[in-house]
Amino acid sequence: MLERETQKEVESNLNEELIELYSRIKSKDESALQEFFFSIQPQLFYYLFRYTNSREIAEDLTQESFVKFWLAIDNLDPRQSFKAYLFKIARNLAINQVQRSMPLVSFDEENILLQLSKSIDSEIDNSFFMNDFQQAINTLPERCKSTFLLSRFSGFSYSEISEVMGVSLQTVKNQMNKALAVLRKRLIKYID
Amino acid sequence: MFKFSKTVDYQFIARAHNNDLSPEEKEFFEQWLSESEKNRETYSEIALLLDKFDLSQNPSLPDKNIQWQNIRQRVLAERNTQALLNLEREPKASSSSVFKILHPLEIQTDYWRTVYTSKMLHFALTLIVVASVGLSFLIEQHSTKKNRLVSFVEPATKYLEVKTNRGEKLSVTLPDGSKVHLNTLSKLTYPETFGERTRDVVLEGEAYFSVASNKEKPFSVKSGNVLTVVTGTEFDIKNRGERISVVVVKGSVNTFSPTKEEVFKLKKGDLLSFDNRIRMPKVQKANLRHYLAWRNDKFSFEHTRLSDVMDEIERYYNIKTSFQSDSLKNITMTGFFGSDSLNKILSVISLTLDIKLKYENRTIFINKN
Repeated sequence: MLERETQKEVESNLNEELIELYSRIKSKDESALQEFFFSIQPQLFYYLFRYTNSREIAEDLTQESFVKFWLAIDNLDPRQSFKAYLFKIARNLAINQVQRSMPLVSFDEENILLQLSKSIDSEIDNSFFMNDFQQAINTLPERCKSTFLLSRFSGFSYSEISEVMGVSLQTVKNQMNKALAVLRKRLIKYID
Repeated sequence: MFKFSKTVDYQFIARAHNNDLSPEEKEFFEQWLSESEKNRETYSEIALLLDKFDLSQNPSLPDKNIQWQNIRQRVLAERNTQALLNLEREPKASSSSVFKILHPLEIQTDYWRTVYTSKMLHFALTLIVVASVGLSFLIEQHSTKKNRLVSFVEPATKYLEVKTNRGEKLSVTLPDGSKVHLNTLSKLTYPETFGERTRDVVLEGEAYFSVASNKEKPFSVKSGNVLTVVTGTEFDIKNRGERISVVVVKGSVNTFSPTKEEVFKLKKGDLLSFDNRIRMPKVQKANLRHYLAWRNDKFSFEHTRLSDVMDEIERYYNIKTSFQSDSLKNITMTGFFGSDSLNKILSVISLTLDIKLKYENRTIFINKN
């Protein structure tokens, strides 16, 4: 009975303000494009940062996604969510990037260095947590990972995520559930 | 494993924690909580975990204005390339007007004159193909082309400068789509639009270059008195103090040192180092991981003098160092660090070299043990 998918939520992804902005973007109004970029840059960057675990790569891909988005405007339907389209591009770029790049430092090496140094405990605790957290995120299957990151670090609603990923709301819920289950299992030791 | 009803699962709890439930869901959730201690425990576990995720520090955001400028330039460059491609694709249809626009800029005018006749047949064939694709498309292209070309024709004289402060790093996308990752305390100067025949930039400090391939238009980096010329490849240039080094990551580059008037052809994995005091360029195989560590916020040292190690750390953390004696400066060390915690690095250095490091007032005092 609680599975009633909130239709209201789906509709609210596109409010009047956004529709107006989208139509200005569609007519290649550069100030509208800038407005859109400025408003969405944090969400885009945080998603890409957690995805790639590299500030620099995330910076690059933030720009790259928007360039690709801009060049594709002619083919966009103003009734669809530009935000979702932009994040689809970003996700594809992130997938390619992660497949291509090899980390420069392995986890173990870092770990040994950490143990070697005898600095402040809380700092070590936190960097251990971050390390494990990032590791855990990276072990998630791709769809799970994107769902989790969009939800936690870009503040996307489930229905927005379903648009980006091109799946049903129920699938988003399942993926999110799976992600949290894996993370809970791997990180439970940090909770006292 | 838990006695979850069909709807209260982790994602449900996450939504509850975000205050993102419908009234009915909320009611259901409260009831679920009151059912058992175990439910409440599960909830607090997930809630604590979510809080921990939210509190994990986010990095500072990249500068929006700089990013926006990069994006605009990339889009502009992309459009220009497309405009040029269109020119080549349908030369006959618009060759006269194209000629007029291009001539003042001397874009391949000689090329066009000499090849024109021999290419006539090819043009004719192209035209047939184009015509079969559709005349309306052609007309539309032709009418918009003039506008698109105007931006391309504008003379390029303005130079842009990108600089990084201490501890700061930046990525720049050049008008041709090439990418430059600037390390801390570095400066890149480049034209707002590249010239017709070359792509010239000037570097101070250190940067990683990922150059968009264009065989017709070599890309050259001047750094100190070393000139590096490539067509499309990836490499790192470091110019600190008296030393300049060029490391090739992908493809090949030509490096000229004006003082020796020599050309060095470097291939993937090669390192050219040049010391202004010794004035003898040296080519050897590089440890790529060592030279590229900075890109991943890591420090890598290989038999590096302690004074050089501290120079790197000074640049990154915006601090000063003070050596008790000069003999300490010449101790060498080898190591690989993440650059996230200064304390960590200092304690490793002090352990491995058996020296005393004290950090006070943004200064590191280095003493014998």
